[in-house]
Amino acid sequence: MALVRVISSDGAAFLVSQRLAKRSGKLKTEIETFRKSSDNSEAQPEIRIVTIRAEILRLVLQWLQQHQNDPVLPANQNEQDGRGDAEMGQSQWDRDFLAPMDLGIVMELILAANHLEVKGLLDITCKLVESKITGRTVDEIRTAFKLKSDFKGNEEEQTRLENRWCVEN
Amino acid sequence: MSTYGEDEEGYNKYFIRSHGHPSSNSGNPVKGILKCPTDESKVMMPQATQTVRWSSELSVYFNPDSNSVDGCNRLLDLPSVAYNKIIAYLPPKTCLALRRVCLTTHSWITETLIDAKQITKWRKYRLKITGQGVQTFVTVVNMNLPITEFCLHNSRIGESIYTSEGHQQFLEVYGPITTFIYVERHSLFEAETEYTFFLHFHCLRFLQIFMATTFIPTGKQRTPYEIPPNIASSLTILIFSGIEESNGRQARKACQENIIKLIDSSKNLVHLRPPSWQRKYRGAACRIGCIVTYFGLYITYCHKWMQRLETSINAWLHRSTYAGNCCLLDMENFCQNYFYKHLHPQFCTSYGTLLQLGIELDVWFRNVHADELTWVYLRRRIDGWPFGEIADSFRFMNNIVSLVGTCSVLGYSFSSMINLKEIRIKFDGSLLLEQPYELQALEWKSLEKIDLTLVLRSKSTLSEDCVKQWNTTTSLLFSRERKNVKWLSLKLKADSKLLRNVAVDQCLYNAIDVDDVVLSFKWVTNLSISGWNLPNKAFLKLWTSLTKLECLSIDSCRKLGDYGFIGKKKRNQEFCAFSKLSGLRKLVLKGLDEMKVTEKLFISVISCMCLDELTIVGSAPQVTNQALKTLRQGKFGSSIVKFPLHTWVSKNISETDKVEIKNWFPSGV
Repeated sequence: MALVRVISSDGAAFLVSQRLAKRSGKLKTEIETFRKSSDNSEAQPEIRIVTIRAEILRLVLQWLQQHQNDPVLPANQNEQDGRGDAEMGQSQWDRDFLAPMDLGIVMELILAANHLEVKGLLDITCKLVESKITGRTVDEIRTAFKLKSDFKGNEEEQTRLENRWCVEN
Repeated sequence: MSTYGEDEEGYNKYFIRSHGHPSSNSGNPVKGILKCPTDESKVMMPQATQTVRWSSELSVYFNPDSNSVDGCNRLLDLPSVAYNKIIAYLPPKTCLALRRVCLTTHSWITETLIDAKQITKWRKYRLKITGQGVQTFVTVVNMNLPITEFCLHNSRIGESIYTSEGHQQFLEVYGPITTFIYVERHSLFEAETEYTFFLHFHCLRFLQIFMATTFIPTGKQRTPYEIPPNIASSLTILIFSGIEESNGRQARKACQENIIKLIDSSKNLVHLRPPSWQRKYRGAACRIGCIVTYFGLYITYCHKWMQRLETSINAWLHRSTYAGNCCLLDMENFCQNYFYKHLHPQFCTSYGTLLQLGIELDVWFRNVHADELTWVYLRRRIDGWPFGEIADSFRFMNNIVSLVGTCSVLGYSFSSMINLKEIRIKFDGSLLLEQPYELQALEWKSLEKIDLTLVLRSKSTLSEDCVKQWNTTTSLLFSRERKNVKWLSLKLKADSKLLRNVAVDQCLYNAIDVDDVVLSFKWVTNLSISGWNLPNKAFLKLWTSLTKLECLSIDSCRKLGDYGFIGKKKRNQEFCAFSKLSGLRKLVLKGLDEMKVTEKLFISVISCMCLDELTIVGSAPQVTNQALKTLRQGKFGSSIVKFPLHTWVSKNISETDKVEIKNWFPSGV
C-alpha cells in the first residue's frame, strides 16, 4: 500500500495511505508535485503541514478515515446559497465526533480543514459554529467567543439603532 | 488497516488509547483542549521504524515547547471561505446580532451581503423605510443587507420619500433585486417622482398599496403618468389593503380609473386583491352607497382583471411558474366595512356570476367570506339561479380555496367547495339563519388548515344558538379522518362578564369532544387550543394520541393542571404523557396564571423535552428560579434555540436573578 508521511507543525508524523490522503485537496496536490519532481517512483512522500498541530491533524485524519468511502462531490455542488453539505444530513458519527469538542478545537479544525481543503469537514464544523451563534444576543456571542467590542464613538449605538430597525420589521 | 501513525525520533510522546469512538479517550469523551501531559506521562520515543495501528491505538505527539491554544477567540481569524459559510447558515436576525459584536464581525456582514448566494435567506425579510431618523435609504445602502422587500411608510413625508437622501444609490443597488414593495400612500403614478422612482425596479413581482388617494387633495389631481412599462411587465401580485378618501364623500373618479388602468396594464397579473373603500355607510345611505360605489366598483375591478386574463396569453403562460399554478382572486376586502345583514339581492347574483366565471377561467378564490356566500346560496334557493344545471347548481363554489369570516353553520351548501384548503371561521352569534339548513357530512378532502373560534358574548342570547351552530359544524367536520389537515386551531372564548358563569362553563365544556378531535386529526402537526374547559384526562388523551405534533400552543385552559401533562404513576415511576410528543419543537404557553399548573410542569416535564422554541406569554407565577435552573440543566437547556424572557413576568423571580438568568438561555434575538 502506497503511504505518505504527514508531519504536523509540532513534529508529529502520521503515516497515511495515499488513497486516504488524496481526499484532502492540499495533500493530493502535494503528493502529485512530489511524484513529478521525484525520480524514484517508490519513494515515500513526506509532507510538512506547518500550520496544523498534531492534535488537530489527528482529528482531521480521523474524519477522513471515517469518510474515506463517501462520494466526492464537485466543489460547487450545494453551494447555491453559500452553504455546504452540512444540511444534507450529518451522520451520527459526525455528531458524536464533534460533540465533545470545545469551541477552541472547532476553530482550529475549521482552519485545518480549510488549509487541507477537506470540504465536508469544513462544512460540518462551520455548521457547528453557526449553531453556537444562532439565537444568541450580542452579549451572549461576545461571552461565548471571548470577543470584545472595539467600536469607536457612537458606532455601536448607530449599529444598535440600525439593528433595532431591522428586528422591529 | 488504512491509516497509521508513526513516531518521530527526537520528540516526546504520549498515547491516547481509543477503543470505539475516535474522539473518545478510553471510552470517555475528550472534553476541552487536549493539553500537554505532565512530565510523568512523557515517555521516550520508540525507534522510528515502529508503527502504531491507527484504528486501535492513537498516537499523538507533541512538542513540549508548543503552547496550548485557546481557540475561542479565533473566530476572527477564520478565513473568508469559513465565515462566509457560517454567515450563510445564520438566520437573518442572528446576522444582525453578529453585526453588533465588533468591527470585524460588522465588516463580515457588510462585506458578504448583497451577494446573490445570500438573497434566498433574506427573501422574506421586509424593511420599513420612513425616510426619517435611521430608517432612510442612506442607512439601507450603508448596511448593505441583501434585502429584496421594502415597505415605504410615507404617510408623514408623502411623495418626498421618492427623492429623499440616498434614493439614487438605493435605486442603483436595490432596483435590480427588489421583488416586493409596500407603499403606504401611493398616487397610482399621478406623481412624476413616483413614476421615476418605480422605473428603476426591473423584477418587482409584488406591489402592495395601503391607501392610494390621500396624497392628492381633492380637485388637485394631476394627469396620471402611464404605468411604468417595467412594472406592467413584471408585476404578478397586486394587493390593495384599502383606499381612503381624505375629505371627499365618494371615491375620487381619477383614482378609480387609475386602479383600473393599473390592473389593465399589468399583463402578467395572476393574483389580485381589489381595494376596499373605507367609508362607512349606515342606514338607508348604506344600501344606496354600497350599491353605487362599493360593490359596483369591486365587481368592476374583478371583471376587468378576469377580462385581462382571458385576453392575455402571457398571464396564462406565467401561471405555470406561479405557486399553486393558478390565478388567485383575493376577496378579503369584499365586505370589510359593510354593516347591514343582508347582501343586496342584486349583488348576490353578481357575486355568484363572478364565482361562476372564475371556474370558467380557472381562477381560484381566496378569503371568501362565509356569510356572504351563505346569502348567495340562500338567494339561489329562493329565486333560482340564472345559470347552470340544477344538479350542479352549487358548482360556483368549486374554486374557493379559503373561507373566512363569521358563519352561522357550515352546512350542505358548502360541501361543493371541493378544493377548499383553509377555513378560518368565527361563530359569534352575529349571523343567525332563520331558514332551515340541510346537513351533510363535509368531505373537503383538500382541507389542510382549520381555525375555528367560538365567541360567547354577554349581549347575544347566550348563545345556545351560537353553540348549536358550532356543535353542528364541528360534528360535520370531525366526522371523518382528515389526513391532510396539519394545522388545527380550536378556540373557545367568552366575554369577561360571562366568565365564571356556570351555564357558560357548561357550554364551553360541551363544545369540545376530545375523542372526536383525536379520531379526526391524528396527523395534525400544529395545534392551537384556547379556553378548553376540559378535565386533565382529556388533555392526557390528546398528548398520547396526537403524537405527530411539532408546534403546540396552549392558552387559558382553566382546568389544566400538572396531572394533565404527567399522568398516572406507573410502578412508582412517573409516567410523563406529554413526553409522548417527542417531535414537539415549539411550545407556546399563554395565560398560565389561569391554569392549575405549578412549577412541576417545568421541572418534571419541559426540562426533559428537546424543544427549539419555548414562548411564555403574560403572567407566569409557575416559573421560579428552581424551575429555570432545572430547565437549564436538562435536555431542554442543550436543545433550546429560542426562549425569550421579555414576554412573561413572574413574581417568583427577582430583578437581580433576572440579570443572571438572561445569560442562561438564547433569547432568539
